[in-house]
Amino acid sequence: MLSLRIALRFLTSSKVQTIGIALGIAVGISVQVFVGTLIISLQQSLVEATIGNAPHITVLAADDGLYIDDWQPYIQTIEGVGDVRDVSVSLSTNVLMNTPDDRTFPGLVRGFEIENSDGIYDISSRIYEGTAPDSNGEVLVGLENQEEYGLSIGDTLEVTLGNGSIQDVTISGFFDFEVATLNEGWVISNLGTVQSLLDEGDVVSAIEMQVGDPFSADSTAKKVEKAIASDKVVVSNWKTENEQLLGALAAQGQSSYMIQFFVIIAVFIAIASILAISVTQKSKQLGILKAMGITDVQSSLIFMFQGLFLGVIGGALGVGLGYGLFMGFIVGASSSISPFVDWGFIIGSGVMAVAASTIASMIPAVKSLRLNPIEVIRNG
Amino acid sequence: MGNVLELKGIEKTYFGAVDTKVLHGIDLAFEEGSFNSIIGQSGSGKSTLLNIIGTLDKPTKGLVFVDGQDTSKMGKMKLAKLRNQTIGFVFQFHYLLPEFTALENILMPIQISGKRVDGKTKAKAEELCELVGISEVRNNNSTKMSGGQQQRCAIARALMNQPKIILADEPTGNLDSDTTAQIYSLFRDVNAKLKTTFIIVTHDRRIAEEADRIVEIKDGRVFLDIKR
Ligand SMILES: Nc1ncnc2c1ncn2[C@@H]1O[C@H](COP(=O)(O)OP(=O)(O)OP(=O)(O)O)[C@@H](O)[C@H]1O
Ligand SMILES: [Mg+2]
Repeated sequence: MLSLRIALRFLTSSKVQTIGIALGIAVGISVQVFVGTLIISLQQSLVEATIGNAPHITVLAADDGLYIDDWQPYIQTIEGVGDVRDVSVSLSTNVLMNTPDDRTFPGLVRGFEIENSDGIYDISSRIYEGTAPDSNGEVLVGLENQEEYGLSIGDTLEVTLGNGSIQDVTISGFFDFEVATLNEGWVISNLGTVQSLLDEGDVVSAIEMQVGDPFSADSTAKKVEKAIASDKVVVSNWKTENEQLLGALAAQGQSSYMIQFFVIIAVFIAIASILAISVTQKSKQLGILKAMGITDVQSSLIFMFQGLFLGVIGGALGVGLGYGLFMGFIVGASSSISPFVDWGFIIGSGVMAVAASTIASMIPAVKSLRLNPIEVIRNG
Repeated sequence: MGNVLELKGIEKTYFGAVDTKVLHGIDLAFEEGSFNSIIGQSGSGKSTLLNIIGTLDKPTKGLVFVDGQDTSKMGKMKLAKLRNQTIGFVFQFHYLLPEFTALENILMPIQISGKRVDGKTKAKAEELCELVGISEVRNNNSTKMSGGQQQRCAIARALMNQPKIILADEPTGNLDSDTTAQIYSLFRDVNAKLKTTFIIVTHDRRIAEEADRIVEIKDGRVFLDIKR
């Protein structure tokens, strides 16, 4: 195809200019890829930090302070709802812990069926010393408390419940969730221990679960509610409890779109103006081609193909550069953000470069239509 | 033979701050296979007339028939095709595409017509190189040839689609007298062999007198029309 060949030849015969434009596009697109990927990773990290080791949906007793007693059948019902996974129960109560050297700290004793709850909290792998409670009366204490109160495995803690009853538990190990408030606030035990502490029978305070797509946790929660169909319980989800976070994420997403928008505008203007200049540069060639009978479509295509190629080269370079920068930045800075590479977004950015530069090249293409061969021929 | 070109009452006015009427009603017909020259003083309107004949420009009034077709009734696409198939241009400046080699430039009209370049067309282009005497430099970039070679390359390009008409506007204006003579004998050869109609604008009376017909333009009118 003639237009294609001429376009390629125009590009290859002025290599410096071509490389310059392609690099310009590449820089724009690399900024787009870098910033976009960084923001996506930040958001993912934030969401992961917030809900990675937390229930996405929680079923609680409808009345405050009451427990769910007929919880066993609910489990099966909930597990039947699509997208739900890692369903487990917990029984929690606020207590005061008295240490062997007679100091006191407040804590939330949380009783889990630890193997089931691992799906959400990953408790087993958080134990850095000792073992999970395997018989009743054993508890795990957090890192900060161990250090503060000089605790060791086998120590006995005196537990004072809200109702005033006092019982002893033994430390079987220590955990570290890497979140100080959890380490300080939680005392982890098994379900049986907490049930016997409370002496309320076979009850739980919450049925907890995660879902495949955390961002549709609200609609999944509705399904759970419908499936249980009981007014003795209420169903909540992480989204209603984290509206601020979601708002922040949305705002971040918006700013990311803004950046991307302006990058694309910049690429667009650059290509349009540079190719427009090249119409003037190549006016002699265009003039004679027109005299020889090149059609308007063919002459337009010469510029559109140039735009297309510049977009493809610049886009590919930009994607590579942006991705490289991002990985270098993340790995090099060994930051707390774990890289999340959204290939859809990255490839989309490349495609956008190609689309923007091809569309931008329509401006010089149209300009080329107005070029009158006589002007060229008359003016030598 | 019939007329391959007919001009009827051609007028041309350039509109601007001051309107300039350049051509004042020109009636001319050119026979197929004829070898014509157009002479006249600088500014008399020769180039304007030639551009109108070549459908690069439109007359303000009057009709141009190329190969029996009324060009005023043709759209942009049809005119482009007409120029590609029927007319070959040679200008004072060669206007070769500097991004391409001599041979590629010569093949350009074929490619514009949408035909594929096969062995046959390539052989034909090589033959034309031979004819105009640039075989040795045919794979040179068009910028890497002498002025005379470039102009001869442009002539080969004009001949590539075997047009019925060659329009040349001072084709040897930039060349020395030896090269000029070579190019005119080349034109004559092509005219004899292929029956191509030539219309050559020139300042040079001696060259003009070699033609079968001399048309002299004066102040936008046909002043003399001598057939031999
Ligand atoms: N675009 C234009 N606008 C206004 N006037 C023009 C334009 N082009 C040509 N002219 C005028 O038309 C007249 C004829 O010009 P043309 O180029 O046809 O002359 P010419 O006979 O080819 O001259 P030369 O021998 O110097 O090439 C001149 O007076 C010129 O000034
Ligand atoms: Mg002239």
